[in-house]
Amino acid sequence: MRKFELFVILGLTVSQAFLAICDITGPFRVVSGFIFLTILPGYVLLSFFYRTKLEQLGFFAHLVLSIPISLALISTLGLSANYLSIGLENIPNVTWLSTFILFFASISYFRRSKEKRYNLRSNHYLLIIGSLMILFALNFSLSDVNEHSETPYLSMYVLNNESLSNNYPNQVQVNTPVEILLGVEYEGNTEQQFTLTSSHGSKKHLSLSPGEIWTEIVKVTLNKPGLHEVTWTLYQEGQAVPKREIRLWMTVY
Amino acid sequence: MNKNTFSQEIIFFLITICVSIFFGTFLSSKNLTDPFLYYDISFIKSIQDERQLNFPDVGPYKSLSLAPGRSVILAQYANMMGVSPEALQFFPLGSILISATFYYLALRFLKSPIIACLITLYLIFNLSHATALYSVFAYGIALPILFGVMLIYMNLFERREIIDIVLLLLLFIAANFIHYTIASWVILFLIGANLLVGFKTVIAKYQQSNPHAIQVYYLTSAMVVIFFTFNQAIYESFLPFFGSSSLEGAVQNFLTYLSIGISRNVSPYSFPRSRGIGLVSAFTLLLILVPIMVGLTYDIWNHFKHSPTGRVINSWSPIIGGILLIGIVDSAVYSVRGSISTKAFSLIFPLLTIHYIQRIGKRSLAVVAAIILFATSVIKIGVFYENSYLISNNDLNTSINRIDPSSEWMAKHETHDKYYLLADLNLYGKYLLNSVNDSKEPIFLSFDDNNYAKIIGESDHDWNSTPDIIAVDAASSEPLIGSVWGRYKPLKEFADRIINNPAINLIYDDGSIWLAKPVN
Repeated sequence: MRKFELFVILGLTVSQAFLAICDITGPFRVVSGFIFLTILPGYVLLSFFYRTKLEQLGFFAHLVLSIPISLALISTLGLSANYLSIGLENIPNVTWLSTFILFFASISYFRRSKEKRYNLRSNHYLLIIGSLMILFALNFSLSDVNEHSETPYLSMYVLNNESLSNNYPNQVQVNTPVEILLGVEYEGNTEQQFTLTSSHGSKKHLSLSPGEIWTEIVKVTLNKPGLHEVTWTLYQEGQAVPKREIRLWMTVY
Repeated sequence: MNKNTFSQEIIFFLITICVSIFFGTFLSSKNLTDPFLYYDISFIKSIQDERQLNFPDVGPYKSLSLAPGRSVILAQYANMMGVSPEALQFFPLGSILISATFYYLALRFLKSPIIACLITLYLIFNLSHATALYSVFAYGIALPILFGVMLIYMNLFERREIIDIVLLLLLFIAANFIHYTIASWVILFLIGANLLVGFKTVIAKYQQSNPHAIQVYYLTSAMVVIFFTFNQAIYESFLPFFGSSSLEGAVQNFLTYLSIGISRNVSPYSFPRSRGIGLVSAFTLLLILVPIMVGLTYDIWNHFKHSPTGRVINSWSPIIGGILLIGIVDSAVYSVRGSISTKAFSLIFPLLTIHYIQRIGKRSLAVVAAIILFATSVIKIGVFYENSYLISNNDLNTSINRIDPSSEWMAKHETHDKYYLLADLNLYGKYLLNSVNDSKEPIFLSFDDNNYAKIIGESDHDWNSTPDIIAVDAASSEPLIGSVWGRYKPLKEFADRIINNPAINLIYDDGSIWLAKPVN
C-alpha cells in the first residue's frame, strides 16, 4: 500500500470517527459513513492479502471487490462484536471498525516492498472523484424521508362506554338504552363546522378547532327486534357527501 | 489493456452508477419498499438505544434471528451514516452495491463496457424486482456478495491460492447470516461450477492435457454442512411450505405472472395483474432463456458429435454451469413451495444470454440484445406506470404519516398489549414501525381466501383466527399482500360490501384508514 493510500484511509477513518463520536449528521456523514462501511474494510483486507499475490488486481478491481468483502466483514465482525457485548452503538462501533481498518492498512503499508504494484493513472482519479460526486448525490434520496409532519386529518370513532375498543353492544333489549362513546378528532389549519347525524334520528352541530377532540357518551335505544345497523355520519358544512361514517351492528331481542 | 479501453470501462462504470442512483432515488421518492423490510427497520428502531441486539424468541421479530447479519448491517449503516432507520429504509443502497458489483462481473465475463452497462441498467430498472433490489432489503445487500463469490471464483479458476478459499468462505458465511436464498445460491453456484470443472478434468485426462481449472469440492462440502447445520431458516421458513398443493398454487401464480391464462382454481379475490405487464415479463423471459437453450443444445450436440476433441466447454464453462444450476434449482425448489421463481432467470441469466449471443461471433448482435433487454425494463416502467402498479403520479397507498392517527388511536384504546391485527402486510409493517416504543404491539394476521371473504361479507365460515382488529387501507389501489405470496384485489373495490357487512363493526374512519372489529 502506498503512502498516499494510507493517508487517504487514515483521513477517512479519522473523519468518520470524529463525525460519529461528535454525532454530527449531514451530507458528509452520509458519504463518510457509507465509504467507512462499504469500501474501507474490504479494501484494507484485500490490500493485505491480495496485493502480494494477484498481479492482475488493478485499482478498479480492488475497489469493486472491496464492496462484497466489506459487507461480509461488517456482518460477521458486527455479529461477533454484538455477541461479545462490544456493542453496535456509535462510539464502540466506530472504534472497533477503525481499529480493524487501521491495523490492516498499517501492515499493508509496512510490507509494501512485496507488493505487485499497479500504477494509479489519471483514470483512477476520475473514478475516485466521479464516485465521490455520485455518492454525494445520495443525500437527495434522504431529503424528506424522515419528516413526520402534522398532516391534516379528520377521524371519527366509536368506543364502548369505558373508552375502550372492545365489548361493543351487539345483543340489546328492546327499548333499553345502551351507552357508547363517540369521538371526532380534527387536525387542520382553520376552525371547521360539521354536522353529525345518526341512523336513529339524532343530529348535532360541531365546531372544531385545529387539534380539538370532541367526545360524547350517546345513548342508543332501539324499539324493534331484529338486526339493526346503527350508523353515525359526519358532514362538513356545505358538503352533501359524508366525510366520515362509522357503523355498529346490534341484534335487538 | 490499452488506455482507451480502460477509460471506457471507467466512464461506463460511472454512467452506470450515476443512472442507478438516480433511478434508486426516484423509487425512494415513491416510497417503494418491500413489506418485509418493515420488520428489519422496526427492529433496528426498537434497539437503537441499546448496546446489544438481542433477537427475541417470540413476537413479530422472531424471524429476524434467522438472518441476524442483516440487522447488524442495517444497524451499523444507520449509526455510521447518522440517519434514522426510517430514512435508511428508503435509502437506495442496493442500487449502488448491485450496480457496482454486477457491472464489474459483467465486464469481466462479457468483456464489453457498453454491454456491462446496459445489462446492469436492465437489472436496476427492472421494476418486477426493483422493490427487493434498490434499497437495503436482503437482496440488495446479499446479491453483491454472490457477485463477489463469482468474481473471486474467477480468480480461483485461474490459480490456486488459499486466500481465495478463505475469502469465498467468508463471503458464504456472511451470505448465510444475511439471506438463506443467496447462501443457497452460493452453494449451487459452486456445485454447478465443480460439476463442469469435473467434466472438463475428465475430458482433459482423456485428451492428456492439463485441465487447468481447479475444483473446490472440500469448500463446497463445508458450505453445504454449514448451511444445513447453522441455517435454521430453511427448517422454519422453507421446508414447512413444501407440498403438492403448493406446487399447484405455484403453477397458478406463474400463469398469472405471464398473463397466459387463469385456471379454475385461482381465488376469485386474486389480484389480476395487467395483461401488459405479463406480456412484457413473458417476452423478457423468452428473450433471456431462448439464446441460452439454443446455446446449450448446440454445446451438447457438439459434444456428442465431435467428442472428445470438440469444444464442449470453454474457460467460462464453470461459471456458466454454476449460474445454470442456480436458476434451475431455485425455480424448481420454489415451485414446490408455492411460487415458481423467475428471480434467478431475471437477475443473473442475462449474463449467459449475452455470452451465448457473443459466441455467434458478431459483437453488434450482442450489443443489440443488451439494448433490447434494457428496453424491456424501460417499457416495463411505462406499463407499470400506465397501470398504476408500484409507481404512479398519485399515492398508491396511505403513507406512513397518514397512518399515525389510527396507529395512536389503537395504542390508546386497544385493550390487549399484543393484539392480532388482520391487515395487508404493507399496512401491518407501517403499524409495526409506528408501534415501536409503544406499550402495545400488533401481531400480524395475514389475509387468506376465507378472511378476505369474511370482510367483504361473502363467507359464513368462522374466522381462521379471530382478529382483535381489522385494518383496511381504504385509499390503497395496490394489491393486498396475504399469506404465501397471495395477492388480493385492493379492498377499496369492495368498500360498499365492507360497510354493509353485518359480521364486522366499522369503528374508526379517518378517510384513509378504516378500523373494524368482528361482531361477537
